[in-house]
Amino acid sequence: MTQATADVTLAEESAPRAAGRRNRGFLLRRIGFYLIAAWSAITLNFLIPRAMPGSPADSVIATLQQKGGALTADTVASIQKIFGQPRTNIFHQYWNYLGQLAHFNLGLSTSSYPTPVRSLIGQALPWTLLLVGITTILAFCIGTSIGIICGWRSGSRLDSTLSPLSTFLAAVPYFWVALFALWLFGFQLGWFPLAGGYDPNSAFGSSPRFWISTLQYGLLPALTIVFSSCGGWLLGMRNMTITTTSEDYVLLARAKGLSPRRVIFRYAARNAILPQFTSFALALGSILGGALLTETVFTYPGVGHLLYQAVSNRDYPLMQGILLMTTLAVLVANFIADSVYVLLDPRTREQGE
Amino acid sequence: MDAFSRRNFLRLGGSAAAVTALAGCGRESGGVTTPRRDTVSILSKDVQAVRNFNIFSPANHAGPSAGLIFEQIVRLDTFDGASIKPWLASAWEFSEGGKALTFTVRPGVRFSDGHPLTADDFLYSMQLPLKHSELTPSGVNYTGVQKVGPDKVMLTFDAPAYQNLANCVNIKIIPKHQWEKHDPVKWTCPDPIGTGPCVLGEFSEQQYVFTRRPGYWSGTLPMKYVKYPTATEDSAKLLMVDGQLDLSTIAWPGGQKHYVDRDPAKYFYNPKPSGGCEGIMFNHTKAPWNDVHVRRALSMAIDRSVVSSVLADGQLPMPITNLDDKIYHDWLLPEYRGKVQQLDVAGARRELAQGGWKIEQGQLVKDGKRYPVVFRFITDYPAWHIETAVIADQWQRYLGLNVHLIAQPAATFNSQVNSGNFDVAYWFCGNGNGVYQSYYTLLDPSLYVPIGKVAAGDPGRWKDPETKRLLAQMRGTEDHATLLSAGHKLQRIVVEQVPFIPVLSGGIWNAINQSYWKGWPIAASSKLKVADSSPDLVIMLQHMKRA
Repeated sequence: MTQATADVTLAEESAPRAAGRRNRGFLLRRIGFYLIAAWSAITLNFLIPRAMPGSPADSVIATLQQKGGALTADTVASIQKIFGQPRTNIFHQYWNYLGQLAHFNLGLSTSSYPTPVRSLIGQALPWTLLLVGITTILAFCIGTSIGIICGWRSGSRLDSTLSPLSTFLAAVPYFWVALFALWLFGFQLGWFPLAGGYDPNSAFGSSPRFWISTLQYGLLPALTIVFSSCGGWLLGMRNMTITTTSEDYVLLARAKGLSPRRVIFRYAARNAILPQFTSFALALGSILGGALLTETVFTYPGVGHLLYQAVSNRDYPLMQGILLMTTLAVLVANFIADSVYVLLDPRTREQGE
Repeated sequence: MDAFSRRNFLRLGGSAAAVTALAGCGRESGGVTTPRRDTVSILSKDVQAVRNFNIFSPANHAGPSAGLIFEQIVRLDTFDGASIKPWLASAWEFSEGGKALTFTVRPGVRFSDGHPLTADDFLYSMQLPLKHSELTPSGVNYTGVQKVGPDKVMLTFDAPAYQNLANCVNIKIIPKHQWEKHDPVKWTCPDPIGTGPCVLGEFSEQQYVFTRRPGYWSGTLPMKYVKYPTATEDSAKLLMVDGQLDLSTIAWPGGQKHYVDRDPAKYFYNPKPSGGCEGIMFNHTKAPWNDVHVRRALSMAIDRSVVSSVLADGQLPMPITNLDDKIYHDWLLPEYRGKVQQLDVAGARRELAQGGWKIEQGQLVKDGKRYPVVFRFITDYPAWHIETAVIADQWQRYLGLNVHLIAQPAATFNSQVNSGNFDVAYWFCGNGNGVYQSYYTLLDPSLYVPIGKVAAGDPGRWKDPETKRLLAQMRGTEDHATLLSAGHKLQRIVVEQVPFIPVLSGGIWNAINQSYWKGWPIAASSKLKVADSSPDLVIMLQHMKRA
């Protein structure tokens, strides 16, 4: 996405009319780009589930067979009728899908028929936003700030401890960290609950006890995510800071006798943070995809698990809904990153002119 | 700057510790709305429960009413030869040569909102699947319903349907006065009203709680609440040990060692055979699987006791007839009682030789043609990885066959197997729903559809006319002697022709924590099975006492 930012212009020009024209052209181009991206995302969301072997009807039929129900050819036919006959014309299906989207209708889930997809996503989304959102931001802030310090004082005791440690943390598989944390803190020590996102015995959403319990239930999953993903941010920031501190302008700033804090934040870190920021924007966009491993290990409600269930039941409407939401979120995050980048980096403003 | 970073660091650490301490304090606060001693806690394996009590939905995640709200008209009594017993219907009778089945509505039953249960509710519930073909919770294939008396409703069938009685366990009764106000195809029935012993107390995606109600027709429950927390099977094991769950119907490999041995007075796990079976299915349209000698040889080269002991979750070697001895004892041919196919390597070699088969370079060879063994199974079930690996190892060890194992996600596997695109597959080969049902779904040639079309049953495309005749004969009679004799002949076909290989029994899973409740039906002689839904659950709960 960074290359696209080169086009960004917040022209500070003396001839306002020319600038206005240029701005309009730029804006149209941008909007065109995002429209095409959104359309391809919508189309891919439609195609990818259908490219997988199996169909929603097959999955329902097999479950009924497993339950020992004697199925008849009529039953099979009627299940195929509601859950989508795999051989209906694909263009026809596509047209219906676009029509539904135009009405903001995501359809009925086939794996929880007849529950609407909208309410399933609505049920899972707040949990994901809360858990993955907060931890992504936290991990970014913690990792980046420690990275600045390590990079600025590279070779110090702090750096020579934390940097290898974070490489190690980034290399340990997340599911292992999560399972171990659950076993130790949840099961052996009993500090945290073993499963869930809130105390199921409290009145849902209305009592103070419920809200306190969300903290209590969410803390361990959150800590494991921060613990595992912090290292990546730390390393990235540290390495970029080392590169920038050897630049001439940092040397100049030091030679001018500026305070260390000013040099590190206004001169070194501000430049070093640019690539970090791009990955952060992407990470923000993918929050909506949920954190499947976390949700599985801690039985935490969320979008990741919903998507997993949708995939294993070949629930096309639900898959489409979640994928659509995720891709649109990534697009929006990109757009915001593109715009904010201009504020952070004066060079992109000048190049745009 | 130094000071700044250090302070920052400390502050972060300090606040994390504070939150941790806070969280630690909160742990004992659970159980205000449902006091633990008044609650039976049963695992819901559906991790993301959806408030969808439309029990007519054929979907995989629907209607978690567990038989505590909506009730079925008849009950399957597993340990009584898988026979059918009355429940909401107090009696039934076949007429017109098995093409009509009349149910009598149990008198004195009331819905939880006080309305009495009537024949009109029966009629309405049974009509819904006929009016809307998408509302088909199961294959109860009647073609007509009518009210034939103030408390009698008659189902009509196109063909004699004596064996369809077992499927009637899937007919559940809903209140007409509530449902007729909604569109049953689009409605999720968020506030269910049923005839069962409970009403819905609370619902969230993580737990649903049923509250007992007075005036239940077969006797009020001894506990106030039955709650179903949701958890994955692995978390459930921790919750069982911790005492947050009383019952989980999960398979627990190494359950004796990892669970029961911790405290045998408290923890219980010892699954009984469910009548179900896990075994090997063949594609009979393909060589070499259409040769009985190959099938027999493969069956003889499996040491089922080793498969069972490696898996160690309580599943036992499956009897040779695919019918469990305890459930079907009176139905079995005397010579097959208690008989399991033992490992017989010499016999297997003899069978292969009789069929003219050789094994060269790990493949079956006949008349210069080679046939590899491609063996697929569903990757979602951890136990199946173990079972298939042990079987493949034994075929390699005893016959020298190289087995190509393919683990597939359920959706892919199901679509390939039901369309007949497979060679050898691991699958559920039976159920505890009666002799007829144990063979029908897997073997009835009347369900045959060509390769490439999705089959409702008989995925292996078994075409034996004798099997077809016998199953049709069973459908057409309720005469016990005829049923018995047809059942005997079917057993002979299964044992001699080996259309599929029964390997391990399915289990009535019963991980139980007895800290809070006693009176579980776990004795070897118990006539009731441990259940997490259905009338069996209701009967089980009625007999339990606080520990």
